[in-house]
Amino acid sequence: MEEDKKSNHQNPTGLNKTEKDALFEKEFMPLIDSLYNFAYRLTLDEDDANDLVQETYLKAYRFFDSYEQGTNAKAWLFRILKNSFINEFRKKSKEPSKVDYNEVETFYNSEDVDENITADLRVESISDMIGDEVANALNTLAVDFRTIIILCDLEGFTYEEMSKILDIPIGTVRSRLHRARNLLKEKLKNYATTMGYNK
Amino acid sequence: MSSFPKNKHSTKCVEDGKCLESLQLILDGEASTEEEEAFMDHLNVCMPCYNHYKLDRAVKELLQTRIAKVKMPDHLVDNIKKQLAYIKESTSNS
Repeated sequence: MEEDKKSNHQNPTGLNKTEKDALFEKEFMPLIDSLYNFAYRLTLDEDDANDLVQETYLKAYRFFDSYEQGTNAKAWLFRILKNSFINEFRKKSKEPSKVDYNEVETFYNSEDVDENITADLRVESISDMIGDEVANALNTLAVDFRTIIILCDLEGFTYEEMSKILDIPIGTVRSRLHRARNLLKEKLKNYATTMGYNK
Repeated sequence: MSSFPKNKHSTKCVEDGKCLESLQLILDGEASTEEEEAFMDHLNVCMPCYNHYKLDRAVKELLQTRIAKVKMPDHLVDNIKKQLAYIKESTSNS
């Protein structure tokens, strides 16, 4: 077995096929629920989510040699999934036209919006909310904002990891996150008011 | 809090939005220890920032605890495993 590792030059990961398959199984298969969850939150459709996850795993296997062992398997898979999503599903989604991210950058520096939203939304209102209300608020965000909140708050990725998954600079990660959170808070505020929480 | 915040009735922090950046970094565990300590000290004397931080923490916890994780249905997982098994078989012959 040891000799195989040293003499195998065709496989960049230095493993023979049996070891490769075992590694794939061990590192990637446990992440399937996480990926499905992400895919579902992106597409809001079970069938689309399934297609995305399937495509992701097939691609991951095909390009396994480009995966560096010991690096972040989850981030690697999420990146593949996100790219598949953009290629396959973005076309057919009914999303509004692309957000102007220059606007987002300058927005980040505007404290007025933060004050207004924060002043109007009470922690007590939030703690009264149930899962469906929170999920609805999240689901109605534009996909790029929804994605970044999912990656940060639901999946716990670092800014660096998100930067790699989304192919954007860390500065953009931060500003988009900030904007997304303000938008989410606005929606939660509206829910709270509608439900009579915000009294 | 041991002392009353100086700007208890204001909704605006005097620090010019630097706090917004720190707040988010700390919320996401991306701040240095020094930055975090400085910000926590600041919270003791700034009510707007204190409220803002409390709210953002609550929203984050809400997301983390109230949104159910959907599990992939077993038959779909099996389907993917089958497809992978097929590919693994066919590449082993090359």
